[in-house]
Amino acid sequence: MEIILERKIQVKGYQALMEIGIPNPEKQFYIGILMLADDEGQISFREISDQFGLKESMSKRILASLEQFRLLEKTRNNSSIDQDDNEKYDLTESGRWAIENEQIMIPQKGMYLLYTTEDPLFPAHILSYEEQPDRVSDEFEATKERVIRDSKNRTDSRETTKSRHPDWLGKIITSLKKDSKIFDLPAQNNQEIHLINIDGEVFESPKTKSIRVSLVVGEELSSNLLKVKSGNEGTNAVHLPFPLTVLDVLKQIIPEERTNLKKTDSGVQLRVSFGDTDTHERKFFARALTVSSPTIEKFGTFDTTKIEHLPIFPRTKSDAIEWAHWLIVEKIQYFLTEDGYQDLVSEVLGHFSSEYDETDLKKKLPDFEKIKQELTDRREEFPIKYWYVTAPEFLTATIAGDLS
Amino acid sequence: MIVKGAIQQLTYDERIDFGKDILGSCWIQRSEIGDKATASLISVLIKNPTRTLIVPSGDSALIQYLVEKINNAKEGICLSSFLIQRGDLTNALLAAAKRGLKVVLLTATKEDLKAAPEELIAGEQEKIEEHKELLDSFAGHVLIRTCGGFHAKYGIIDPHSPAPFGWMMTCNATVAPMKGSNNEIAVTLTPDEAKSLFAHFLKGFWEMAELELLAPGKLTQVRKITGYDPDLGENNLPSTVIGSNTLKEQILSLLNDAKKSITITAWSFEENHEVIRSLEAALSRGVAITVATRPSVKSTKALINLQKNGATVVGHPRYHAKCIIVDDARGLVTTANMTKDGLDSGFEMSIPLEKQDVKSLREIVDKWNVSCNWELKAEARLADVKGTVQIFDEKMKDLSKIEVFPTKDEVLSPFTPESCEKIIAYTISEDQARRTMKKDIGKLYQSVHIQQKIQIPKLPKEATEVKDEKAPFPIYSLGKKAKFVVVNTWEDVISSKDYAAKNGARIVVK
Repeated sequence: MEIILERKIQVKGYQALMEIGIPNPEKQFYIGILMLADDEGQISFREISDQFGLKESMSKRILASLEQFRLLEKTRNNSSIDQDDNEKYDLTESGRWAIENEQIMIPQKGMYLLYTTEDPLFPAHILSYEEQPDRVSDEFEATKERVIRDSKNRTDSRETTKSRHPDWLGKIITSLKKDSKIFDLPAQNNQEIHLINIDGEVFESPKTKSIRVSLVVGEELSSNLLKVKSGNEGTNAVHLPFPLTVLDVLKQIIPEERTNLKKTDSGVQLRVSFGDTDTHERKFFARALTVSSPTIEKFGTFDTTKIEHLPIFPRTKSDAIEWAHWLIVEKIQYFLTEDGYQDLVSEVLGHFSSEYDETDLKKKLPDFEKIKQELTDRREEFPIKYWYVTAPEFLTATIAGDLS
Repeated sequence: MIVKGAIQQLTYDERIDFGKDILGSCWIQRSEIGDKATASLISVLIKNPTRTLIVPSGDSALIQYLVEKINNAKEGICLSSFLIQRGDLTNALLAAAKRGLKVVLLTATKEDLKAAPEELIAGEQEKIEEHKELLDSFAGHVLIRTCGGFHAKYGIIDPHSPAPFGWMMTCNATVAPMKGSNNEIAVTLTPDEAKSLFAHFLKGFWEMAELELLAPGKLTQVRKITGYDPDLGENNLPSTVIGSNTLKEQILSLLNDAKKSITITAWSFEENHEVIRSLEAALSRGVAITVATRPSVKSTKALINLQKNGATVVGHPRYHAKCIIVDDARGLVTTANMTKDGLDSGFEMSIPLEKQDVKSLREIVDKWNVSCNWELKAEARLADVKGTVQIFDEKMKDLSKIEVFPTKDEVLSPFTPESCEKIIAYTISEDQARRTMKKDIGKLYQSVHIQQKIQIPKLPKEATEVKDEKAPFPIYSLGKKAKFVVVNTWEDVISSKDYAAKNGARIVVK
């Protein structure tokens, strides 16, 4: 089974001058060069020329491009120059990423807007990005000047020194000075961007997006999924390292049933007493329940959710006996003989055999004579079932027993 | 016209007799009873050693008899009836179900009933909707299965007891017939016969039923029960049921073995059926045959030859009972009509009778037949008929009921001839008289009495005498237009005929 938890997330946009690496399929041939660098550990133009039969000048130009793309960097240690005084280059993290993903990201500088969230479902925070046109950058400059002017006019020193972006973004900006980072964009079809640099001031944009998420929690961690729907676009599914299974989530969102929730070979089950079940639940061994504002620790509160088919099972052997008896009566849907009744009982007991011994249960269930008597006593309640069990014996020329 | 002497005002007066007219095949009225029920208000209950025969009547004796049996039942009741109506009998069945007995019913659906109107007597057609409502009220308490062929009318009480009670009747389990609105009969069965009846019932329930009513308004297809093969017992009574028509065999055997007399009654007979052929064969070997039925086009077609060849065929609109008596020694009461629906296929039952039971049946049937107000005549003459006659026409759906009167007085508009000799030659033809009869739809007259004034043609005032001493009779003229011969006596009319003709004159009086 699975549980689906949904909510709308808070989104903020942050705008700044950035350098972002964007996939360029036309540059795929550079993958080979990077792979060579990975094999050799370090690379100079000589290895490129030898491997690919290129001229020295061409090889040097390739290395320069790859350095510019932040896919290679000059070796920082004492072996940065080879025996022939040629520069040596190492693979960067971005370069390694390019090999693994077979994508060359080409840096582009410009004004970009990052849509972000502080929702705990998105530890990486960044959801999607937008390139901003020149007109916007003019507005940005105007906004920037106004903000700076306003901050100069404020008397409260704390106001003038207030950060314009959250701490996590500040940490990203700092870390980019050492190395670029790759981000998956869950609200942009899982596209990856290579965030190389965020330059200058970062300002919160008035622009925002409406994003709804559906957290699909499965029986196993590997089946957990986050579905992200951005505005009117389609839904994007993200495999999320959500650390809780269905059982864990159920224990949190229906805490009153903690002790009754069990994991079995056939999955999660809620153990119930027979008296707490209704007709539909008894027939289908499943319960539908609505949980109002379910809350998961560290992940917050979700919209009211309906769990359609929570498997249920008898809590005790007595419950199993009552349930089996009820099912037997329920399943008498046409004329029945002794043999037919035995088949029916076996079929019913099969529902409980995972935990209860069939033979043991069967001893406590009515035999055919007893069920006939029961349905005779309950004839007003079950007029047709009464006939189903008595007619075959009545409407025959010979009958067992003495009628006089 | 025969006329003499002085010419005076005349009236044509003639009676034309149509008594010899052949009406063809028709049912003529035998008495003044009309269409009322023949049964009296007191039921006839004949308790013989083997069984009881009951002729139901307005005192509800049959119903009360059966209700008492049902009220004393210990195990269950099985009932078959094509049509069933709410009343004391059905109330007793429901009470039995509510006190824990098993009550099972074989019957027809509303659609089956609507598809077989000829099987229902007058008044029963209107009860079809009530029948459906009753079944819906029974659903659950009474186990109901249906089939268009479930025509038999009988019941078995406590079928598994050492001495089960059974009865068979010729009427449906509807109130009016069970209170004697028709000629009907019910017979009780011996315990062995009741067991046979139960076997017949089981066959119908498990092998013939098409639909079952398990909840009000919900007719569902009957399904086979996997792995269940019920013991259907043994039926030794002549009957019609799936895979067997021993009833037809028994009837034909009775008829073919008849030596002296056959009396056979049914609601309907079918043309060219083996039963009819057996009756015709019996007739040809000198067996006296009396048939009693409800006058209908279908039965008339089937019986007309028999009557032509000497069988007595009587009719009553409510003759519903189906009985056979042969040589006053053997008999049969059955639920089947003498038709292929019922004898060749269907679901019917019969009880063979002997000795005292046959005698009792004979008394009952004779009383019915005496009070039958119709008799079939293959070639009746109009003179033979009194009152109403039902005329058979193959092309018509129903018999045509015609009132027959002894005479019709018809006064025609005056005859105004131009010349007196036309009066002497004047006569009214039979065709003319017949035409006057045809004006009255639904009526026939054994004779027609026609009267018609005759205007004697007179000499116009403007006419002037033509002097002619040689003329044997005075002659007048009206210019060049007309000439007139004036006479005084009828003899003169005859004498002046030639003269008038020669002169182109009309014979008139002054």
